[in-house]
Amino acid sequence: MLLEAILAIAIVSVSLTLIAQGLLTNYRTGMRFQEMVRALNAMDNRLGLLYATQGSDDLLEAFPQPLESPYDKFTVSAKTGPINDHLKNVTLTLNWPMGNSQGQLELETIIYYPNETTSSS
Amino acid sequence: MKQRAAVKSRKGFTIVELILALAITAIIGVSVYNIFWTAMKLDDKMRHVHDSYMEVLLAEQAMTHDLENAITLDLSASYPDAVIFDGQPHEFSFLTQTPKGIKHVHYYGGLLSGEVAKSMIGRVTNPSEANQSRDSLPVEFLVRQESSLADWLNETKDNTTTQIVAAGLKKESFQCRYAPFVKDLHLSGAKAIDYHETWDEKGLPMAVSCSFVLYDAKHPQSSLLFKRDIFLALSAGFYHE
Repeated sequence: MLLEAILAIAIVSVSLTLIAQGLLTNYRTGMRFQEMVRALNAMDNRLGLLYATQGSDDLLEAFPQPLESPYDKFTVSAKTGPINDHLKNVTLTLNWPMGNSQGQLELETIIYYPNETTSSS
Repeated sequence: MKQRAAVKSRKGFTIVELILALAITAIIGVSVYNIFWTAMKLDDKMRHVHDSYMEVLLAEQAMTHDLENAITLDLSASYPDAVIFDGQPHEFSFLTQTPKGIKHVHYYGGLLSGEVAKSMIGRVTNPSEANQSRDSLPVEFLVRQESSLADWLNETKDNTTTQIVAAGLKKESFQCRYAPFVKDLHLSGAKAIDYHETWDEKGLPMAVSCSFVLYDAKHPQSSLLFKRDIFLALSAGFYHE
């Protein structure tokens, strides 16, 4: 009788633990989703600025730069490559700490820039 | 004698074993229950936060879409007092091109009345807060009002549609700033963008920066700030010519 009771409790415990693990996974996914929403926000802001300034050089640092508040936990770095005299390929990489791991969002776009940019720099 | 021998030979649990087994079972049971309960609470909280974040995402998309399609019209001959883009610290209104024609759109932070608004307040606040008077509530909505060009010019509100685009904003946290166009921005760089608190100039601003704090009913003191800088494509196109 006692063995049966212990066995029943053990089965219930294992089941509840598995359910709890599922819920915790859901929680962790939710946390990642929140970070991703903020990352998308930060990336949208950066992209808007990049298009408006037609790829200003101070926005295209290859070394990771922290963003301004409230997105200061994110860092952004850029890789650029010319396509022709007026177009350049830009890859933006956003990084942020996420617990023990690192979150990352990468986006590739093409920026039009007038010739003056190259001649002035 | 025979009876005593039978009792002695029957195998069973001692009282110590019984207590030990019950104690172990109880400890395991309580631990599992605690883990389960914590997971349930976290999951419940996450569902609320997830809804709020989805709203934020959709609200920002709606604002971006409207602002990127903003247009300017010269109405000075017929309507000299009409302000095409009216930018204030906590609200802004402008004309935008939609598939159903030109619409006047107004975004502001505030509360609405009615059953739908009441249920939304209940969703984003604590049960004790939900019964407070509207003025003392810690939350506000991000509201989008849309009217036709004719209705706006004639100052009629019969066909005005009002939509709550996000419900869980901290009270009076919705703030807007406006950047005027900077000539040759590609040469001067991003630091040349200077945001102003209001916009009362003719024409459109180059960019609108909207920020707000998401209200967390479980942690009312927390302040998770969102900021979105939206560049008005059409005005940029106009000015670059």
